[in-house]
Amino acid sequence: MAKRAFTLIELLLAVALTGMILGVTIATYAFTVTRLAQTTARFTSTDQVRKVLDEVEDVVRDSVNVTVVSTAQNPGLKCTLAADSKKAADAASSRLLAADRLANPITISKRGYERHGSGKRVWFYMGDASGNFGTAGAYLWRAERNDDSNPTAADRVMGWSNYYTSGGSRFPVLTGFTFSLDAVNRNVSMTAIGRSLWRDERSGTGSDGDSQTFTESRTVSWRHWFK
Amino acid sequence: MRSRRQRGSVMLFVLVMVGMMTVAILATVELTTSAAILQNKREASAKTRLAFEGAVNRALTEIRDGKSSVPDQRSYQIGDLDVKIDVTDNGASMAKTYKIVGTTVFAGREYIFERIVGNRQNPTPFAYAVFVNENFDPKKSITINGDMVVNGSIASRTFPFNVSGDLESSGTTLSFTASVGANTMLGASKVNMPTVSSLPYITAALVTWATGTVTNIVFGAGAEPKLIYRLGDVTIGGTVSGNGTIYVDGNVTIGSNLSYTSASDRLVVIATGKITVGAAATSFVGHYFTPTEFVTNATTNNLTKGSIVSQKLTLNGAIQVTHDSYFWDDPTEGAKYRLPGMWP
Repeated sequence: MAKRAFTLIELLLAVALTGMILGVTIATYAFTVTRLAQTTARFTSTDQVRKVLDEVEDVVRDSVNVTVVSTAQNPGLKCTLAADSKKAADAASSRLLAADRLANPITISKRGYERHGSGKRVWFYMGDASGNFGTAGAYLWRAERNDDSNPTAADRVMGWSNYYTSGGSRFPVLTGFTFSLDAVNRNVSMTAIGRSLWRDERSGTGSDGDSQTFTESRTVSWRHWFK
Repeated sequence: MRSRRQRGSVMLFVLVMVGMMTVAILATVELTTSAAILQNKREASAKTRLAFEGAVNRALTEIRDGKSSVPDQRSYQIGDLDVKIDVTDNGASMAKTYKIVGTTVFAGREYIFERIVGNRQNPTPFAYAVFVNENFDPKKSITINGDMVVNGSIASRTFPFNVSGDLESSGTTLSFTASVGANTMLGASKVNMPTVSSLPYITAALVTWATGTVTNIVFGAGAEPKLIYRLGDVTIGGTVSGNGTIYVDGNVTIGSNLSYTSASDRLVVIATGKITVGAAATSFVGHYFTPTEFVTNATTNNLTKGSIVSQKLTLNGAIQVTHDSYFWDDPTEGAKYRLPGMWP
């Protein structure tokens, strides 16, 4: 039997079909990768915003008092934890203690309300990379002191604010964290904004509208231990 | 017919493409699933925690209102969650507290919470160092080692006003600076001032005082507090031996210093009329109840161990009160001493 080569029609059909398959495949792949990048960016924004709010809420809920203190027009949220609170950072490791429970009372008032006393002062504030309170910037910092003075560089909880206690911010996509107080009703309203860019924009080919911005607001009460 | 090499190339091409797409799709699905799981966990945590707080408040309210007792196990439906609550007395670890453990199941996962909370009972006036049942004008210096409650407003004065414990007032403002060691509670609900009737005391008293002046009060031996009845005004002073209650159908004057002879002595004075601290009585002891007025006339009036429960408190001299928390620590003793509101 004589060997037979492809005909021209067969070759053209093969090239056309291959082109179509490649086109569909590449388009699908590109679409999927884009969606993946967008989803990643969206997830990062949502995750970091909620993580910030969760961790601040955790502290506010176990506080006996919360105030806003400003230096150079840059405000800080000062939360005075209950004396028995486990929400302060472990001094040795600079990491948070794994304690879900709220603080136990120290004494009981005549009406049966829990008295807690004052524990650590936990601060949250936006600042620059130095973490000095009073600076302006997009880094969220946590600091802890045992008195009411403003936090110094030594009071920063590096393990909370940074990866591996130094280097980049733990919440790099956070672009804003604002708060306000209702002292009468003893609650804090706070808003966190996260904005994460997806790959095309990072490489300069995307537009600003391609970023994934997520905003969440919460109102959290601190302890109503007397009424 | 394709050669083996041709078929292999096509197969390889298809496999690479399918593999790349599979990886991309799986990554997207994984990321989305992770985000959903994380969000669900946060929602579950917040939801169960809030349900537990709601159940705790309901349990405390029912205990306070006498609808349940301790220890107690019950379930509350909070929204769509069933929260099982286990309330036990935590008094051995901390007086007047309960330990509340709540368990609830959400999305197949069990959540357990625990809290130590106060026993939110309506307090007796004797739980405080000083109880005043109307507006209070602190027109002299006042120092309270304990808690103070005013069923009314506190007038603005410049005299020192020091309370080491809680300062509670049903008034909504405090327009002067008070030094308060614990909490200042404004707009507080009023603590009930008990009424008193002479008849049960007349019936129960085994001793009556015939004279209007008694120096050195002797209740006699025995742990059980004694009850003395006096019809008419009386002036007391000197020392107190033993423990018991003096019920006076009239006014009481503390004419001179009054002190205990031993640490276990305890005096309760219940008067239907006014109780006055005379100018010579700079130091005195005891728990005092009057539905009319408690008046201080000495330059310094130091109640070194006791409490004052009065409709009105008039300060013509500075007052210092150190609370004797005996009836707060053990309310059953209140009935033994026949305190208004606890007896008969």
